[in-house]
Amino acid sequence: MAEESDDLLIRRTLHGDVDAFGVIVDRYRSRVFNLAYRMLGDRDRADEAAQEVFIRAYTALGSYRPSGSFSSWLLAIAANYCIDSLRQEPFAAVPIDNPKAVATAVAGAASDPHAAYGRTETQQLTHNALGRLPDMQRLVIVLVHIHGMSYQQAAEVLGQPVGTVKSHAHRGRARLKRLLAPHMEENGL
Amino acid sequence: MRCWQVRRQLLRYEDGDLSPQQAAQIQGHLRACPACRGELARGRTAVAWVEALDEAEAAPDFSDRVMATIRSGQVTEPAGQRESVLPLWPVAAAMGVGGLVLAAFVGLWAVSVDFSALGSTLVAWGSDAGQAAAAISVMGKALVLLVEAALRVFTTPALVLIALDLLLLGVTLLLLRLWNARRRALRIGTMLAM
Repeated sequence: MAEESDDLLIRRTLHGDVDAFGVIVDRYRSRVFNLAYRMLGDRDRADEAAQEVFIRAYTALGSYRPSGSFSSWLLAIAANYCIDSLRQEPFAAVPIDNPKAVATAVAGAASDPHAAYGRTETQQLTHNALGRLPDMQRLVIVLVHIHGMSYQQAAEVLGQPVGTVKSHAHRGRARLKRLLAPHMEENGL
Repeated sequence: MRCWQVRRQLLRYEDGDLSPQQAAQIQGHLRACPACRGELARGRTAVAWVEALDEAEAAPDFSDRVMATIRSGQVTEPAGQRESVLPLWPVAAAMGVGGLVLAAFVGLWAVSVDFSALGSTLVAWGSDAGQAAAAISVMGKALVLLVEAALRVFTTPALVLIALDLLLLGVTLLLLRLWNARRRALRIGTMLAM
């Protein structure tokens, strides 16, 4: 079943085969969790968000049309959930101008057996710099530079014109550069 | 070009959005200006650091927890599957055919066919093979009447009503389809409104 197309698995799910949806969860769990983590900044929140995204996707599966990309449809649900969640509680960032807090975060990540990320200062600083971007800029940067989407694909997920998506990406990249520049200088870059 | 002009175009230059002439001007400036080269390098480094972020992995039991929630019965079953299983066009076609059959009956009624005579002859054909020739003759007559009815029905007010009815039905189905598509687009748009 693991080799079956998304559309076939969706049809099976709609005909009552819940196990088929389990294959979809396994297939997309990393992408959805990673998006949620980079958007929300906290592992527990990301876990909760990713679960809710899959449950929402399951409930709304009948509205998915095979003419579009399932991955874009699913990530649109994830993006929407994260944006809603951020309205209630902002990104859980460690202040990047506080070296002690960054060092503590790095040590925490290194001692967490499940957190195979954020173990270096550069990773923590980059993650937290992402968190200081406006939500839409961060979302576009995550889709394009972490999920490897083209601007066109990101525009499909966001339901926005490609030009608007590019504009968010450019502003986000410019801001990231400013935020990370001091750390680059410290490293002689 | 001045530095501020180049820096304003650097991201578009990186994305390949500039014309060859504009790109050549930027390249020319970059060759001569270490400060702008540094700016370009810092921008590339920031993107490289983002792209090098480790993939955040979900917990090993993540899928099991999601599926346990779904199987618990607390989650609504996928909605709208009826909509996806039953496309609108076959329904419209079936209703259209039904409308045409209705039109034929109205036409037959309009030309005042003697249904009782036709019916009794058909019954006789079923019980007595000897009257097959007569029955075939009646069937032929019925066929002629049907064709005649079909021709006549196109001139009766009933057809106008039926045609209008079918037209209205078609437009309604089309609007329903468009409305469904718009509702879906709005749903995605609303989800992403920020």
